[in-house]
Amino acid sequence: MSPALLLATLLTVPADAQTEVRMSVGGGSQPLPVLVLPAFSAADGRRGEDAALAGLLREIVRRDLLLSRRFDVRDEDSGGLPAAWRLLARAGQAADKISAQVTLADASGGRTVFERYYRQDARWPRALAHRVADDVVKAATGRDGFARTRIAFVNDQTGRKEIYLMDYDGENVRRLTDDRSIDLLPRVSPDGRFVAYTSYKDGNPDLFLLDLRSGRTSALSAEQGLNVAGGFSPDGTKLLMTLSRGRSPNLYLKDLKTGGVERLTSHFGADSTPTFSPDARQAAFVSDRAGNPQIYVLDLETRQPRRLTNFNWCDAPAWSPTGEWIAFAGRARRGDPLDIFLADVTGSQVLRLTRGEGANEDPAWSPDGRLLAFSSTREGRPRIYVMDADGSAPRRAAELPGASTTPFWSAD
Amino acid sequence: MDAMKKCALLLAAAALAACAARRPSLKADSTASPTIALSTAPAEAVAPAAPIAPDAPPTEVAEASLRGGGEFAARADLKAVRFDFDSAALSDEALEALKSNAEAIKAEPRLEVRVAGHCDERGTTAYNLALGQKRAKEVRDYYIRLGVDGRRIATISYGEENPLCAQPDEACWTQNRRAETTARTAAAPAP
Repeated sequence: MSPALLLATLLTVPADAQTEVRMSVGGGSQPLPVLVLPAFSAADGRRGEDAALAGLLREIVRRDLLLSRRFDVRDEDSGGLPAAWRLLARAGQAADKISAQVTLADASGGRTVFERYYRQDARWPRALAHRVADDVVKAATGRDGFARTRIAFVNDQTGRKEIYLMDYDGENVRRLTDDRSIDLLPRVSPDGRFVAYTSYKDGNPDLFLLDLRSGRTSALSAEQGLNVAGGFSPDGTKLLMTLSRGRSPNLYLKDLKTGGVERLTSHFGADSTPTFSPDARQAAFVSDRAGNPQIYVLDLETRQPRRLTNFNWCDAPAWSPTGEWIAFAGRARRGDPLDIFLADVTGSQVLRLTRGEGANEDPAWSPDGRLLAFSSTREGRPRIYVMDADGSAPRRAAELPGASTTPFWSAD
Repeated sequence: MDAMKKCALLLAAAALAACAARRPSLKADSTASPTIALSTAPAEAVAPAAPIAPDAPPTEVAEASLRGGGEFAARADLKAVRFDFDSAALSDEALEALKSNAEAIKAEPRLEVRVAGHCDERGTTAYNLALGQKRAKEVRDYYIRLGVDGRRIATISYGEENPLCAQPDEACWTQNRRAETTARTAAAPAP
């Protein structure tokens, strides 16, 4: 966990978020508001360290604001659209602390939106910069940013599959496990503290829970057969799982407080990869009960499933945090590589997000529902990519040795 | 739970005879022969409206545990079987191979076997884990139908995680879509 940032002063708190206009997936877009981001100044102009820090922080903030896709970031006022926002900062280091004084101004009226003083352990400049970027997004749009979010995934660069975690921008990559086995399918709890994952380290695909705070791992489900995490409930108290128990894989719900396990489906075919709806009333999952795998939605109260998709193959559902879309990996024809699609929750509308660029699998929503992380073979070996939820602007999230697969975007 | 326990014990005593397709739960400790362990699985969810003549909920049962004991090793007389794309169905060719395997298993009462289901790289990690499990289960079920004691057969799915080859073509995918039966000798024959 990144060390807590010290917010010495909070001069302005933005009015709380109003309901955002529904994200228009695939629709036309308004030009983004111009945010002018001049060079950050050094607290002590005679110190090279301060100048270097100011340059580093600005670069991280600039990238965060670009990747937020909420601003047209400019170095200076220039022609075209008038600037909407102006972000100024002054950075310096004293002993083992770095600090930055940041001012966000409404460029049209010259009004100061906020002026804040940030302080952080000198080893964590990225954490400070990400916090600044999120505060700018919040103040300018009323919405939470994702600059401090992280992506868990699997990578095999050690020769074994282990669980990794990186900042959303591909930086700060660290390996979380050293099981030297096959570790798969990480799912991060909503508070960002726990990672559930499957490992073969004890000779069976068991489900483990890694506490990122203590570094300790405990067995969560170690029944004979498959033990695979689906998704945590939004309140973090329950976990959807796929267990086989010597039979066909079916869906189960584990209460993480009581430890109780409840069976949700009982089907001869394979039911797998359950994911909660944001209101926790439903779960999307994959079943091959009709032949090829398709996405179904299970009402968790009535236990009635309904079929959502009707492709040749549909797999790896992920319910958007806004509740409106279910992303999945699918293909229209047998033998095609998998691509990423969105289906609305009624199944009446299906949008294709990737096309003709390798196999694209395992979509994972950013916590604000505006971006999707996924794995793709478009540049050879599998890597993690991030794109807008309408399929535009895909970018490689990180360049690492080995194959990187099954991203899961952590909210914290 | 009482009904479940009774059923499980009866099943154990009757050694599979009573309930087709329902197996006693087994867990081997690290050294000894397998011992009966009761499933702790909860019963099936019951429909909200109370039925007039309620049936006992289905008994949850598990299979032989893979944990502990020696390594499972390949044997020349235990053949692997192949599967069609996205299918766990056993072909005629596979059925023949499994019949031969079953005879070999039955001929050595102390043999414990593990059926590992594998998939090709197409499809997602999670789906292939489920598909590999189905493949392993199909093979295990067939062994049981051929008279092999279910307590001697464990399953595991490796999904797409243990491929025999890595070329992205049908020749390689065919090799990777498989179920392998491996064996070890139990410390004592199953009771």
